[in-house]
Order: sequence, then C-alpha cells, then structure tokens
Amino acid sequence: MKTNRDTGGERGNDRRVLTGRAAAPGVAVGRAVPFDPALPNLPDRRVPEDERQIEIERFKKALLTTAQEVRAFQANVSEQLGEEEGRIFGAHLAILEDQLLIEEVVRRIEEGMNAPVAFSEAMAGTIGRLSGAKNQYLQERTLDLLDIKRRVLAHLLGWGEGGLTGGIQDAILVAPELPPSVLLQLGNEGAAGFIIEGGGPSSHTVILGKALGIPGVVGVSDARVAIPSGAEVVLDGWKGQVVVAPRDEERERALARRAGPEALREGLEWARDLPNQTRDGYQFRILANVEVPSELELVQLAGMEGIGLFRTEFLFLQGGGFPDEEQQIRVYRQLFGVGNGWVTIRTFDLGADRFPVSVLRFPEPNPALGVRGIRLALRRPGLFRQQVRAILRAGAAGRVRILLPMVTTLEEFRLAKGHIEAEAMEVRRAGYPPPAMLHLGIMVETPAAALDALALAEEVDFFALGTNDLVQYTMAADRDNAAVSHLYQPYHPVLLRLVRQVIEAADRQGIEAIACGEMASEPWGASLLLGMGASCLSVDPHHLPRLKSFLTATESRTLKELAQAALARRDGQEVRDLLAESLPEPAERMEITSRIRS
Amino acid sequence: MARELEKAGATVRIRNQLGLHARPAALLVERAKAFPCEIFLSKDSLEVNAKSIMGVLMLAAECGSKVTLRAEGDRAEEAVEAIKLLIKGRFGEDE
Repeated sequence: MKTNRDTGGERGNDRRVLTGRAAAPGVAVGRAVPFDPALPNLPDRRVPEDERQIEIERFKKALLTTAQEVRAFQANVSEQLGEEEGRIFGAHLAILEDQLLIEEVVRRIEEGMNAPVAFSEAMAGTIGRLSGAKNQYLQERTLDLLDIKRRVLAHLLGWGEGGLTGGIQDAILVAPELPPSVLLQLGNEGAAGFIIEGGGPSSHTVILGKALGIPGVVGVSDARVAIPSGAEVVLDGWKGQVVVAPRDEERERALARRAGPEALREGLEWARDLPNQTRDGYQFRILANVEVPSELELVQLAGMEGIGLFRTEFLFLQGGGFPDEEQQIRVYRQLFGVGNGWVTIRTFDLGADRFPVSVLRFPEPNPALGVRGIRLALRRPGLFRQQVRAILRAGAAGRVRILLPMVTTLEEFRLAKGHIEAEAMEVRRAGYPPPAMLHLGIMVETPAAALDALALAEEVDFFALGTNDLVQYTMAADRDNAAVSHLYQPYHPVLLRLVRQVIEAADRQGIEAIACGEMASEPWGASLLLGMGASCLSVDPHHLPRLKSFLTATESRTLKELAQAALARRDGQEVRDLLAESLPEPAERMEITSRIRS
Repeated sequence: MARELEKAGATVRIRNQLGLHARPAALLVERAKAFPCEIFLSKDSLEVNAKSIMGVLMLAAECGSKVTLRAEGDRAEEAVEAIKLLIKGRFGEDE
C-alpha cells in the first residue's frame, strides 16, 4: 500500500522532518551529537569542622578558575565578534564576583555543607525567581545563571565537559538546553550547528550562534528522542527545520546552500538585474517580506520594489511591555527609508498564546480559534490606534499600506477602518504631515474571507494572501503537529481553488492581491500563483535569486495551462506529480553563483 | 550624641524594553558599589541589596515595572540620584 504522506513534499523512510523555531540562520550538514548539560548528583557529605576552611578555599578557587575561563571567553568573543557580544559574559563575571553570593556560600560551608551543595543552594533563589519571570527575555537569562553554576560545579567536582561522545568537527549538537560558553567552546572546535529542545529566540546562546555563524534551531521539543546519536542531519536555521537521515538530493542541496552571506549578496545583486517578467513578457512584481529592520539592507541590495509585508509582532514580543508610540515610529520609519515603493505594515497579529499575560487576562480553551489578529485589535482599540498612529506618523509623505490580520467578516474590516480614519484625522489635526497615500487592506487567511473575497474586494484597497494560515484553517490541521502535518497541503486542488477565487475577486474589483505565504516563495507555488492570474508576490529577500531565476525562465502560457491542469487534479499528490513532470527542477544558489562567474 | 543616618529614597519605573536584564543589572550594581551607604532595591514585596547582582537579577523587573530605591548612610541622597538617573536613562539602551 502506498503511504500517502503529503507533508508539503516529504515522503520518508527513517527520514524525519522536525520543525522548531528558526534561531540562528544558515544551513548545516553534520552528525547529531547529543550534549547533556545536566550535572551528576551532588554529594551529600557533610564537612567536618576542621575541613571547613579548606572547603571554603576550594570554593573560592573554583570561582577564580571559572572567572579566568570566562574572561578568556570574553576576550575571545570580543576579538572575533565585537564588544557587544563580549558583554554577554560581563554579567557572568559580575555574578562570580558578587560578594553577597560568596558570603551566602561561605556561611553555608561554615555550617557544614559541602561546597557544591552550598553553592547550588545559594544560586537557587535567584534562578528560581528568574525562571518564573513572566517576561520571556528574563526567563532566558536563567540559562546564563545555569551556565555559571555548571562551570563552577564542574570545577568543584572535577568533572569534564558535557559528557560528549565522539569528536566535535561537523557535529550538530542536540541538547535540552545549551549554555552559551559551551557553544563558544564547541564552536571553536568545529561544531557545525545546534538543535535545542527548549530555548527562546533571544537566549545568549542564540545570539552567539548568530554572531559566530553557527546555524541553530530551537524549540524542537522531542529532539533527543527523535534524533539518534550519530544520525546525519540537515539543519536549516532559516526555516527552523531539521531533517534526520536526509535524502541524497537534500544533502547535496544543503551543502550547496551552505555557501555563506557573500553568496547571498552576489545572488541578490544578480537577481536585481533580471527582468521582472516571464520569458514571454508576463510581468510580475516581487516585494519583500521583512521581519526585522536589519533585513532592509538585503531588500535594498536586491532592488525590491517595495515591502509587501512587514510583520510587527517582534516589537511586542521582545520584552515585557508594549513599545510606546515613539519607539514604534523609530522602527517603522526605517522601512520608509528604502526606496519610495509602498510599505505594507501588518498590524499586530498576536493571540492569547503569544501575548504577555498582563494584557490579556482571560485564558482561552482554543487560542488558535480565539482572540487573535484583528479580533484582539478591536478588543484593545487603545493599543490598535496607538499602532495606527505610529504607522501614519512614520509614513509621512510615504506610501502606506495598513494590513489587517485574521479578518473574517466585512464588519470587522469596517470597524477597523473606522478607527483608522479617526486616527488619520487626529494625526492631521495635530499637525503631523500625513502619508502621501494610504491604503487599507486585509490578510485573506481565513476560509470565510477567501469565500467572501468578492464582497471584501469591493471595500478594501488590497488583499494579502496568507497562504500558510489559509491552508491550516481550511484543512483544519496544525502543521506543527506531527500527527496531522501531512494534511498541510498547499498544493491540494481545494486550496488552489480557494486561492484562485481570491485572485479573481481582486482582479474583478481592480485591487491588488499580494501573495505572501511560503507558497509564493517557492518556485512551484509561485508558478501556480502566476498561472492563476496573480502578479504580485512578497517573499523573504533570500528567496529572491532562486525564485526569479526560475520565473524568468518560464512562459506564462505554460503556467496558465499548468494551473488549469492542477485545478483538475484530485489530490495534493497528483498536483505535485504534475508539477514535477512539467516544471524544471528549481535551480540552486550555487548554480546561480557559478553562472555569475562563467 | 549619635549622628542621624542620612536616608534617601525614590520610586522609578523600569523603561528598558527588555527589563532589568543582565547588562543593566551589572551596570546598576557597579554604580551602587561606588557609594559607601547601604542601598536597597525593591519591587512589590521583595527587597534586595542593590550591590548584589544576584539580588538585582532576582527582582526580575520587566519593562514597565516600578522599583523603589532606598539608601541609608553617607551620600545616600547622591546614591539614589545616581541610580535613578541610570534607570531613567534606560541604561544607555536605545529604543
């Protein structure tokens, strides 16, 4: 019986695909090496009175040795990477020199506790408080304290490094947690990547990984179980994906993609000079998806025409509180500094599960179907209007598109529009220069919106097709749930039909439909979209070379026929087979680079 | 005659986006250590020694939280002012 596991292209034997959160960008190919930061059990020996002074000296020496190590790391990191990264270890040093901490430990030793236990207990209070912090960033600082605790205890207990099995060269570390100093040390010894079960995007380990160019993925909750020691692994730090026991072509592709940032820049410059049309002259536009301002440099390099999607969630998730108007303006303003194309800013698309507790006080039984996106905005109009005001002020004299997420009904749009128009008036009244142009649009990502696209298209100024969520809501399956992720089929004819409906509705009303999900950034998906009449895509800049190289080699007539044929197929697998037969294999970045040279 | 102990206090809001994390905590402790008086930092019902980084970290003070400074001894007022300034200046972090 043929197993039909259409997980967006994955069919496997022992091969597994794990999804986590993209942490440090890059691609790595290597062997999985488990790393266990856990310490052996602490001795429970009491220290007799005549040995206590010696025990205290032992403890102080361990602190000193650890401090020396950390200072060496700091110098190493500052030299290789810069002051800022070196400062990560500055706080570690302050902790090791903390007089009150030392007093706490000495006091306990004088009462008869052995040094490891005394130290452990003295650290426990602070570690406990931090790990219980409501703020994720502070929670992640717990890792710093644990790093120090490990090091000092390792010295006190005469224990070696991490219980590692096998050499480090080309190792992909798999760990429940990974202390930053360990990543540094193993990185210097040749580790190629890291996969962490827990961990958040702003842990110092991730920051170091990014700075050192060591790709990593976090939040892979079953990593140690799912990845056997020694297994070959392809790690994609851009997508947050791990492939265990990859197929040959996956390994080859990954090795090719491992080419670093220089290749990306070359690729982007090359892509910039390609025409924005298919071989037979069907014009398309490729806008940029941007998440953090530091990506704007790539957008500019690639000569992308505008920003098709700027996600604002990171502003609200980075720390405890909401950024105020001025802080937001500072960020949004940077977007308008890149050329004079449209800038599409999506208002915060947050839900109860990702929100700081202080703002949403009620628990929800089903956050995915609950108060998120525009629903949250309408419940918290103060915050919504503050964001709108910041966008309007930042976009003075610019071309502003405000994009509303998770819209289900026309009424929601009208209510939001009311708020936005009121804010626009207030901004003018307060004397701020208004945007040169202001358009209001919606994410079409719920089935309701897709099915009602025609009515919505009459009142909004543009659509943004959020294919990722549209697929999930339509197939009623969570793509991160391994048990049902095979139902995440963006190429299923049902989805194609829905997407086409949206594109046609937009076309009928003369408004733009920007395709901005993953489907748009993949050559096959983009081909189908163009074949169904879309002409505007929005993608992460680093997808541009591959995408453009592919599209400029196609003919629009072929794409139209292809789309029609796909719509007539019966399931996702048939569509994928059709695409595989009819379209050339998407080119790889390395090929592109070699084309530049030749 | 016993000389009265100089006392000073203030309440400040933490305005760093990321709260009182490792770097600002280290800066605060450094600043506090420069003064001879005793200095305490408290949030809600927890009071810690401002010269101990473990203590300051333990407050887990996030952006927007209110902390109270208390100093006792020589140059207490100066100490409170200095730390208040540091906090209000967001510890030199922009945005």
